[in-house]
Amino acid sequence: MVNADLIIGPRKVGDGVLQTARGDKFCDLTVTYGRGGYYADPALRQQIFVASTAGTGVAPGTALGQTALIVIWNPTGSGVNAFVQKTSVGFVSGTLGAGSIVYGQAASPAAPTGTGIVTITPVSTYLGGSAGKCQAFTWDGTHNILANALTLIRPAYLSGAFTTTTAIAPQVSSEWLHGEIMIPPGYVFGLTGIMAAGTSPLMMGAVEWSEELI
Amino acid sequence: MVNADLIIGPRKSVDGVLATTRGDKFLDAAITMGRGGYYADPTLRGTVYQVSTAAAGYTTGAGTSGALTAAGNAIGLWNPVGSGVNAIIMKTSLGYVSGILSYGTIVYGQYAQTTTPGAGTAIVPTSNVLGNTAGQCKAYSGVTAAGVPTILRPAYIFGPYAGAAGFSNPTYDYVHGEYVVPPGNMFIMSGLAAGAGSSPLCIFGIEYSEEAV
Repeated sequence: MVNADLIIGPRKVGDGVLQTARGDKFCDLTVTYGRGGYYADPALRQQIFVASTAGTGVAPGTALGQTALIVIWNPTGSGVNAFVQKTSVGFVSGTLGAGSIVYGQAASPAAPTGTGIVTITPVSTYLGGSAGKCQAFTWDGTHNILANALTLIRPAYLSGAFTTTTAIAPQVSSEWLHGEIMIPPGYVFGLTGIMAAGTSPLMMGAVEWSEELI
Repeated sequence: MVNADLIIGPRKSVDGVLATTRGDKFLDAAITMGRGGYYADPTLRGTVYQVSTAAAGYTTGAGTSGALTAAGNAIGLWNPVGSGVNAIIMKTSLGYVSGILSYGTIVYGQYAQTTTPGAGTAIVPTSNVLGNTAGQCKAYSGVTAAGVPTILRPAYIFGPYAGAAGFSNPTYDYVHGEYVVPPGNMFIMSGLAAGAGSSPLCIFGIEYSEEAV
């Protein structure tokens, strides 16, 4: 049996030196973020991807159904699980309806092919990197895209009757999920509005995820 | 096979003592953050930098809804070919300067930029070790990319704000390394803003770490 031993208290050493890990007064192992931040390692390994609707905007939707502001589909047989790391939304134009943007899920053994389908090309967050396994879609604002209706996971963003004249200061419009939701092969994860119709509401939606081997 | 054993439950020790790592009731190793905070180590090693548009502000855009364009992007962080480093984005931030903003979204974008951007005002990066010199990456406000950047995602949302009374929440986005800018690429932050606005000026900032390729 070998103990995971620490040396208590602050020290400094030069690079390349083999050293015992440091501990605090409570014998807790002291750790630091990886160099470059939480996600630098999987980003460098080209395992993180982001998909966003276009800057011209998409109707967020009014109810759970076979439509969505954006969905990520993990194809059957992809060999990876997709862990949702972050979502974000943007305002484009119109008057939003009061309500919420929620997360939803549905089984989707086959690729979404509804008549309203609009394909989004995911981008590696290692800029210039190659594409992953998952695919992303939005809708045309009118027709269904999913074979099965989304079921509610949880609410994510609130919306009032926000208009082009609502004088809010700039604010961050994203949520870290840090992998709390996993999309296995054959499922879709999406953002959709459960909100009043508003007047020609157009928003942006984006999802960031990492792909890990099953 | 060698086990990494823990001692379960609270204890206290003193500096310089060799001690076994503490574990909780679920046999997970107990940890705490490094001295000086999350990013103290790369900062101390001089690999973390900031770039910001000038305090006089840069336009969030007006009548520019729909897509990024090659020219006039608020801020671009360019990693030159042959730099020997990857630039890892850690945080972005936004400040209001003056005017009436239009309405829309500040987005992140990217472009494969292998040559020096065609136009823009150079920004001198500041090391987070105050007083240290700049690193390998270059930054520009009002930058012109070699082509139309691809939108990565929306980041900030805004309406026709005109400096109303009150105080906003902090306006930063912790990116935590989710984007890597390899040599020959540019990371962009710029407004997709419709409506007229009136001289809408904001400050755009990017914080990043340069790590050897």
